Amino acid sequence: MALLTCENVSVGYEGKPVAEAITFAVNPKDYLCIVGENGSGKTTLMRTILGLLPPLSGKMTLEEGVRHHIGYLPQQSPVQRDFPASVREVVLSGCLSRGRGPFFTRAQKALADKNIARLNITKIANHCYRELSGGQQQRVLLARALCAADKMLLLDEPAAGLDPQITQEMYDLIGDLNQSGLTIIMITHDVGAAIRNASHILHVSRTPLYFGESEGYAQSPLGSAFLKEANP
Amino acid sequence: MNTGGIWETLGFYLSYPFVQYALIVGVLVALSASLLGVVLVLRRLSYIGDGLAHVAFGAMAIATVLNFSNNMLLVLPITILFSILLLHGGRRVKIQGDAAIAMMSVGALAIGYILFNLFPPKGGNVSGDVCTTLFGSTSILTLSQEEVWLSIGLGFVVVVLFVLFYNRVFALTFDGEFAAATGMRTGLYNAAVAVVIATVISLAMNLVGSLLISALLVFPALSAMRVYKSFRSVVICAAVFGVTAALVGIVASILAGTPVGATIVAADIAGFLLFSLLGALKGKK
Amino acid sequence: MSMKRKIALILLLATALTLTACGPQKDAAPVAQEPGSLPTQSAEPEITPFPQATFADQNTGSAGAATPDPFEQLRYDGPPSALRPEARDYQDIGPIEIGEFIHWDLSRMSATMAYAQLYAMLMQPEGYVGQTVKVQGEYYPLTDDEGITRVHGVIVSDMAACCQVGLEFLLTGNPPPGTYPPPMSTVEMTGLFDLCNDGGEKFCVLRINELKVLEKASPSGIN
Repeated sequence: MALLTCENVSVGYEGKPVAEAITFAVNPKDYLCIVGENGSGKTTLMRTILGLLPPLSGKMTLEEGVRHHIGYLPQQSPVQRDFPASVREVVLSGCLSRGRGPFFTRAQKALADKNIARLNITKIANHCYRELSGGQQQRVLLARALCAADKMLLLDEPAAGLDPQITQEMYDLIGDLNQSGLTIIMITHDVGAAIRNASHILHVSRTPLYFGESEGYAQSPLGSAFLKEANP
Repeated sequence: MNTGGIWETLGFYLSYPFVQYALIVGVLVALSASLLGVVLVLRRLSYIGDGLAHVAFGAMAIATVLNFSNNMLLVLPITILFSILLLHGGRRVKIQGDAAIAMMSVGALAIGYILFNLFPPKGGNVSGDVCTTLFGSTSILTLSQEEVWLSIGLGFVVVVLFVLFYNRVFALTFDGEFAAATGMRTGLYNAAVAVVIATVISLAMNLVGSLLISALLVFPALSAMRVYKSFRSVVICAAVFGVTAALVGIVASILAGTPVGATIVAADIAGFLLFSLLGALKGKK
Repeated sequence: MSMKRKIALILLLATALTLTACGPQKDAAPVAQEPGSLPTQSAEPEITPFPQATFADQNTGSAGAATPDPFEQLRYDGPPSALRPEARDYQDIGPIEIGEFIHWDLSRMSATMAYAQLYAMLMQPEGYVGQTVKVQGEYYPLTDDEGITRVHGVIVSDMAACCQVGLEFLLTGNPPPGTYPPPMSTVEMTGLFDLCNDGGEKFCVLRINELKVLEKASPSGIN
């Protein structure tokens, strides 16, 4: 039973398509990487999956109830410069998607703490979010996404702007999460990492050029060309 | 006047029922406004607070002309309507809304004033009424029983709602997109916030008048943000700040005979300067 | 806002009623300006034509405030003078004795408080009848077409003079000519608060024995 199915979907803004005829499916425990050149519509596609944008045409089905078990790490966080929020408050806000009552339960607080520890930000848990470095902020937002992600985690260029070591840690973490049962959909520029880690690849470019398994992608003319471009 | 004399006078004044009502309503309205103000400031919607206040003035003028038994019956719905229209678009509004809001708020002010002049309130004291509605000179001290209970009820409801939905308000304000992506019904919540903002603004008109409502919304939040860094502490600080400024303002105005609304705003300004100083000192450490 | 309008209106209606009910001269003033005027009123207040005479009940009050809105189509059934119920006419109730103790000294309060307190008294007068009140404010007479003063009022404003509330006062006995200063002079008076009825209209009056003029305004009148 696929968690997410897209049939001939077009995505874009205000009637103008950015990418068209996208067809793919994501099953539980899949690790899908979406790759493509800049401006090819990857982020637009992700936002459409998340319900932030309506699909221009085609059929996109998210399995019943999954919406409340999704975590999301956006590419650029639209947070203002002077927003007063502690790290813990930000991470905790991820727990809201499954909460009912007005106050956070002990279980939710424990989950938040666990994810804070996982991302190695316990030391700065009480610091103000806006005073952190870019990398630290990224980790806070990932912790928040993990709190919300029960079944599926969507990441938009999670390693953008991070130094190689942290990037590697992040990919390792995401790989672990996938191993433990979390479905991953990730947009990334790093084609090599994508091929290494992902189970499936979707190459988006105005019209999708490839959807299938990662090994197949590496062998395909498109994939190998792309790889060569990325690693000259 | 010696200090003992002032305290005595104050104690004496506090025995007047209308003073007691003014303090209770003032505190509740200031509290609601401070809490809402944090949300407005952080979502960069402070100018909407001002625009809505002018709309409320226009609505008040219409209600006066039509001789409503209770002006709130017209002011509340109209202000709520405009609030939803303005905030419904969410982020879209910010981009195209600036000029539209400016036009709307100035238009409401002008038309309201024209109405007041064309259909003067029965006593003929046009400038007095306009002055009171715009600046809230003594309206808080001359509330009818009905207005007192309405204000108390609404103020109470706003505060309770804020407490109950505090976490969702934070999520919505901090990152509305993430909230929407993870399944929160942001459209509904945004509409609810719009309604509450409109309610608070309509109530606050009685306290400080249309032109000064922004101060009640904005100063507590800004002052708190100078010193505190987490959302919870900012909210609590803003609430305490707003209430204190209102109390100090009301008391000072009845002792000194100054207009109530402006005195409250003066207290807000003084507090803001103090907090800015504290924040600067804190930063240096 | 609506309250202040009503206060001034009470004053002005009192004028109208003085014109109709009392005094030997009956002014046959034109009625045309006020189509839907109150049934108890037969002559016109020449002061300000009101665009509309149907006054909605603007202050219903709560369970506690039993003040009926004087502009409702209800006749007030109280005595001409609540202070002296046996008097036949609200204007002349005989000599009054004003004690030493002042219940409400508005002259020593801040402008904001004095305004608000007088306002409260006018809104719910029953509780204040017979109490001694000291007021300081501006003298404001209401005159008819022929320049005869029908109502003497004192106006209390808040600091910016943005909000004003007026109270009618009556000197007992026959005050000699020259008692009343030019309009807008600063005056001070101490007297007994009274709730009166004239032809079904309810209004408040301060009964004083002496009018103290603190500062005479220029005789040219208001402003």
